[in-house]
Amino acid sequence: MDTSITINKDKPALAAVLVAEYLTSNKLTVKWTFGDANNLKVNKEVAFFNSASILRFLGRSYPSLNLYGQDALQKTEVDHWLNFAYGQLSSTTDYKNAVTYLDQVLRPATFLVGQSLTLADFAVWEVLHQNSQWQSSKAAGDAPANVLRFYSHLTSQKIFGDVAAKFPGAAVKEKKGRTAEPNI
Amino acid sequence: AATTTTPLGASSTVASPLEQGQVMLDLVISADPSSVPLSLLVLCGQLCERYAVLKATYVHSSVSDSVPDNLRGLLSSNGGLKRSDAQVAITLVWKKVVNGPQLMVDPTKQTTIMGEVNIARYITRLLQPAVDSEDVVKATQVDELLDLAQLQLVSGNAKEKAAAVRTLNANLGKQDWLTGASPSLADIVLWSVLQQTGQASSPPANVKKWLALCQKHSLFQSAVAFVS
Repeated sequence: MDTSITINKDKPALAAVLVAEYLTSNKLTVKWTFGDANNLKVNKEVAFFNSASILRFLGRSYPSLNLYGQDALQKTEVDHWLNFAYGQLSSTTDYKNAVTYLDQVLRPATFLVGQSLTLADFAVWEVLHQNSQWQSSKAAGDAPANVLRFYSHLTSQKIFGDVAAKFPGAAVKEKKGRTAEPNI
Repeated sequence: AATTTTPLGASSTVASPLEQGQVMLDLVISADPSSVPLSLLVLCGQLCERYAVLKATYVHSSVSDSVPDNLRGLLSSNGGLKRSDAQVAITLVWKKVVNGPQLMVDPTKQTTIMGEVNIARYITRLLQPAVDSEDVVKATQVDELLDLAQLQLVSGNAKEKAAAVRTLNANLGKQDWLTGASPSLADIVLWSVLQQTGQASSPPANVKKWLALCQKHSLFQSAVAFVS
């Protein structure tokens, strides 16, 4: 089965790009190209546009790599993290609590679910990479240690590194108030 | 005519974690009494039809003054089943929880699973072990609706909640149930979440018709009594 995905240049579903590249590197052909919208077209009637749905469809269609976890419990942990990534972690107001929680969970762990890469890692990496709050705290040197270790470990792997080079992370925001013009 | 067929029937060659001769599965679910996870009642009922389920309900001291009588014994086996004969135990604990009801099955291996939708996903995987592999498109469509429930109806602001209801209304213009001609997990969870988030009081036409359909369907009967 060949699967084709289109990716929107301005709001790329990076986790879908990563999973496509990861599957391709494992000799499973998933092609992606730039297009109008993030979109995985299944057939004439069905297409998936949301990142989480594209990831779930890919994980289920290519089960041999266990990207959706190995058993019922791990699959549900993956679902938990997909909700977390595209919910709390993507929300400007919830971000701070979300990243603190993430840091606690990652303290003893290399991957979010089990001992290997899953959709959960791809999704959380995507949201961090495209989040200016995360990129700013990383640049300022005050990013939570365990999340930083997780993000850096993934980014050091070839597929993530290549995607990060092609799709630069969110812009770093200068801290307010320090060098601002005097308010007259 | 009302049908009594179960949408979550086992029809697979994949073994359920409950049928692999392992030790009993121990599900501990913490939930806030101010928001009863109605889908849990429906799914727990399904689980009981299939397996020997030991049920118990506890009230944490932090909420002991605010749990109504009808919730105190919501899940209970009334001493009819010995622990040694049970295939699965479900313990419901009423307490204050942040980020929705929580599920713990194996604290040595897992992260706490948060959200009613994800508890529903786990129980469905026990009921229907091949749900992820049998029909990949359908499973992903159901999940898309469950994400809508969690991210827009439960966690969203008023605008996002209203948009989610409009999405459901458009969907139900084409078919009686959310994913086709018969109820699926999406119907059970969306029905439950609409009740809890106050979106069931003055719904648009198609949603209203669907809510009435749910209310009459045998699948929902164990939970209907708890709709205020």
